[in-house]
Amino acid sequence: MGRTSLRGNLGRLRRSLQFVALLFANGYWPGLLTATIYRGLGKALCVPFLNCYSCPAALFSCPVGAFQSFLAATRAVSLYVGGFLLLTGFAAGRLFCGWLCPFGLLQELLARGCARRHLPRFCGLFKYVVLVLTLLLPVFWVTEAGLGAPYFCRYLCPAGTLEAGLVLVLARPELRALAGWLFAWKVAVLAIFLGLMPFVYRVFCRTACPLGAFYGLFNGVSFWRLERDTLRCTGCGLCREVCPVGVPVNTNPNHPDCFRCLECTRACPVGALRFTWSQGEGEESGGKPGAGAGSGTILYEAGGRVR
Amino acid sequence: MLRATKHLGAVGIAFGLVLMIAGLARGEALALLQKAARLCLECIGLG
Repeated sequence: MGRTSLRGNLGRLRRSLQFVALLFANGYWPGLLTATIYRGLGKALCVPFLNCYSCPAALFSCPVGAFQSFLAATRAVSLYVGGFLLLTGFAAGRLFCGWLCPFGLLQELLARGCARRHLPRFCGLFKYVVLVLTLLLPVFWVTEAGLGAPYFCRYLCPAGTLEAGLVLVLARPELRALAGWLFAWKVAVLAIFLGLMPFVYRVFCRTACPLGAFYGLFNGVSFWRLERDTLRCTGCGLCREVCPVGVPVNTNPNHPDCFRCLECTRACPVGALRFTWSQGEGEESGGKPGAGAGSGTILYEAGGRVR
Repeated sequence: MLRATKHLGAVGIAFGLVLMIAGLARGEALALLQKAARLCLECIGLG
């Protein structure tokens, strides 16, 4: 298989893996029929994406919910969940957002062709506020008994409302009786995000997801990363044009907002962008786009390596 | 620059793994299992 067709297949591979992750992380089908949650050993493991562990079909735990619950209960950081987040973050940054997250998949499926790519800067920064509050509130906003709560899950997380809240409230009358203003608020938050999804590409990931904000911090230092070959890059800007979230790929290929969909690697006409575990021969040197285009083109042509 | 961040990535992965093992030794996986195996009313906006 040639490199071009391999790159062409990446989009289908990514979509397939997103569905596999959705079904794998939510594979407890009896739970959906009986509206009860899975209680097996899988719940001791986290997945590297938002997937509410109160969803009747969930086989694993959500790292955000797990981290907050531990903070709220003990006022200490969970080494287990924190270590998992660091391990996955340093391994691949936001790759999990783009290739595995079921809520990201939903947003992509709902997005229309005209979905907005660019957002005002403050919208993108809001997710960092959410991240800081997610980490601090369970420790500092406590009851008289000294107990906090997973406040992100409680007040904001639309994934939990969709996967767990709505399903359980609709299926179990005793839970329906408990639904009050808080549940109404969460449904409203979900409705707002669902309403925006067709018009703003991955709006929740880009504005309010604390896990995406956290993983994005590792994009620049992660082991698996995007590399731009400064010798091959002609600075045409096509990568930036095709990026669904408007990341300036030609100047910062490992931007915190990049969720590694790899559309830019497919679009690059000279193959200057690639995703790699290892350091390549034409590493990203921080030079200006196209700075080495002239000499690089001659070099590759002379060497017979033009693709 | 890239080589340095590659090393940082590898060190970070190892550090995360060590933390996970330390957490396992402290019984945090079991605590997570006990927490996540019960319906979290707070997580679904009911508590």
